[in-house]
Amino acid sequence: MRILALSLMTAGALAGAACRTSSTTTTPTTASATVTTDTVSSHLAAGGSATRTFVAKSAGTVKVTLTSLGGLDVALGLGIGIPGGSAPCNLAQSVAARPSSVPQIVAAVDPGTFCVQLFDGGVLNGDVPFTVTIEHP
Amino acid sequence: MSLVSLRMRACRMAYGAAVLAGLAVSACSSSTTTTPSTTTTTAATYTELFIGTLSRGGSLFYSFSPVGSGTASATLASVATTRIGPVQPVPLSVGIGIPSAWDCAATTSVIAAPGLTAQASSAVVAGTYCVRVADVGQLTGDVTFAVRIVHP
Repeated sequence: MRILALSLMTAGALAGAACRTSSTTTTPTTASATVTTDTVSSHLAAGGSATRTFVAKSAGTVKVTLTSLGGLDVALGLGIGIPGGSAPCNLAQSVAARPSSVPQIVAAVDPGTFCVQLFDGGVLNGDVPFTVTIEHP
Repeated sequence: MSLVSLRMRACRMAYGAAVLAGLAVSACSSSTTTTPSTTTTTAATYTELFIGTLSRGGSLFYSFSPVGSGTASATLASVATTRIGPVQPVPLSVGIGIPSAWDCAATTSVIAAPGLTAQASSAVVAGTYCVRVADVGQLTGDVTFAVRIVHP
């Protein structure tokens, strides 16, 4: 009879465990947005500007970094905006940026087409190579 | 009753209990978990650019025509005094409304500094609407502005 009682208890425990397992709640998960990094390397003329457009596929944060300037440590204008019209880039904000590994511009954006512009405000004496990285959604 | 027959009876009952447990397990297993699914319908949107030169104390508007219902948004993306160069975060009034005579009767408006996310939005249906940009007393001279309009 001990065997019988043990069997019934085991069966009950199994049944109970099975029911508890079946009531597990599944939490929907959200996929994280993909971040794209564009690297722009070119030359900037004295008094000139260079513009690069990019597309943000979803809302998110854009980080713009002037990472190198041909070994120079001077401040150039760096801005972000939208393209269109007669201006190469209609800037929403701009900063005086020196080469750094830390983003000089961090901006929230909606999905759409945007532009980044590097411009010389009068500190360059000739062409300089530069590299700008743009991280965007 | 002999010891052998008692053991046999116990085994039969244990077998029966196991069958019951199996039934219970299979009954609970039948409550399958349904994975939530999301169906996303993306409506077509159109993007237009409203660029102009705004004078001190002035206002300008631009008309656009949604082809369906949804949300129209306006982003004051730029306010500048030079074509290329540093910008100042000068706030302007940005509104969405309906063309009225020679102006735009804004039903929604905000005072916003340039940014890259929509500052004004409004529910719209197919028809004609407008975006109005105006100085709120901060301008000292002419500025060029750019507004991105997204609508259904």
